[in-house]
Amino acid sequence: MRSFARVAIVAAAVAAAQPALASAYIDMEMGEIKPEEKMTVAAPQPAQLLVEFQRDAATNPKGTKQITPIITEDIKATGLIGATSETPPPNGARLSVLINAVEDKGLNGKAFAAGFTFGLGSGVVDNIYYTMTISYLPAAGAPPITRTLKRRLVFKYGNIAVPPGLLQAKSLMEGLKTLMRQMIDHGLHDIAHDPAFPGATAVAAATAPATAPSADAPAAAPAAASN
Amino acid sequence: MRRLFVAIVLALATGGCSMGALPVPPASIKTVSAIESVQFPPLAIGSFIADPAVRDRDKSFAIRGGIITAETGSFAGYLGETLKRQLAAAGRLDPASSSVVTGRLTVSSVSSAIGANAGKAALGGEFTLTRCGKEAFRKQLEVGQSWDSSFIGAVAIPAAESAYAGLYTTLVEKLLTDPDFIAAAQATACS
Repeated sequence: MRSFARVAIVAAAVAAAQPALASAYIDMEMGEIKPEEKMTVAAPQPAQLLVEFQRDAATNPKGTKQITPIITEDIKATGLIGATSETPPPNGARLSVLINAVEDKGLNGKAFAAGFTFGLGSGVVDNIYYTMTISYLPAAGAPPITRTLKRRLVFKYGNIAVPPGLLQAKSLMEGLKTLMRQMIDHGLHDIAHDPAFPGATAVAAATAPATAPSADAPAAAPAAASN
Repeated sequence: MRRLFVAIVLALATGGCSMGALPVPPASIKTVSAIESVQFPPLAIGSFIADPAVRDRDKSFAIRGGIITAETGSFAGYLGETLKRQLAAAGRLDPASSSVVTGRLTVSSVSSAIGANAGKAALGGEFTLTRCGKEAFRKQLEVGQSWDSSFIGAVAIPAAESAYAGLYTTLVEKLLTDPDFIAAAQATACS
């Protein structure tokens, strides 16, 4: 047990100090939003924005403070929501984004209760599952339009195979940003398809970019491909 | 041990798990919805102080050597700001209101003992609602949480800090959904 602890501490320290030895991956099930799935709004309406980051379903103030600017920029980049505020605007509209991060304790089970997820090679693979619940209220008292999306971020250290179907990110933070942006893109554009969403129309195929980004291409920046 | 990596990954992925001061919790989506489900006029937030029982740990306290502090400078103030943020997000905050909520932090404890479900945190406060200077509500409320606590400090300390910080939102939600509090807040007349 103690040797595992020492290995973990050393490995984690090395991973932090030598990021080249550590890799981050994201699942490819969602990918970038397709042009034909996008919506556009001529006059985006202002909305109150509530962002809450949870870890194991408990509010995490530090995580929320860190991720709120990322989410805010991603929302702005969709062009579907106008100015956002912490308090309710006159129109009563509200957009809430709840992110819950959970490690895969259940998948690893007791076999890994005391140590790493060692595979055939020598290293560590860890999975963090993100569930994002996006809810939009067009006006105070109106029924919310809600979408729930799930993604996985995989962190690897050392010489070990990762599960199939993953795309390597430039860094852990870039991987997280890509996940968040894709979830916001898919969730918000899907919400905009709801007839109750104000003033949204489908982006005409003719006006879509001739060379849409690859479905699974990693993003260089959080807001790069949302418009 | 695996949790060490998880802690580091989460820390990196969310920008840091250092022992920096705790920011005021965000407006809880669940709590804001709960506030909006009942009608009461906007409230003002008065002073929040520490009870003598917790005064020695109101500014900071240690979890296995990690020093926990709040951006507000005190944990009693942290409780007041948490409440203020929830009310503001729900459109129920009015500094000029004749209904004022004040509080006293009475319970504030964290144990990061090693073992399954051995980590424990508790938070309690006495809340008072005065209307036009007269007391309309006073109640002691407490919340708690337990979790599996690692023997590795790098895992246990952030976990304990996170669990403790989360209790502020839980306690405020308990106040704002308390039937007695709601009944007291709904009354508007000063007489």
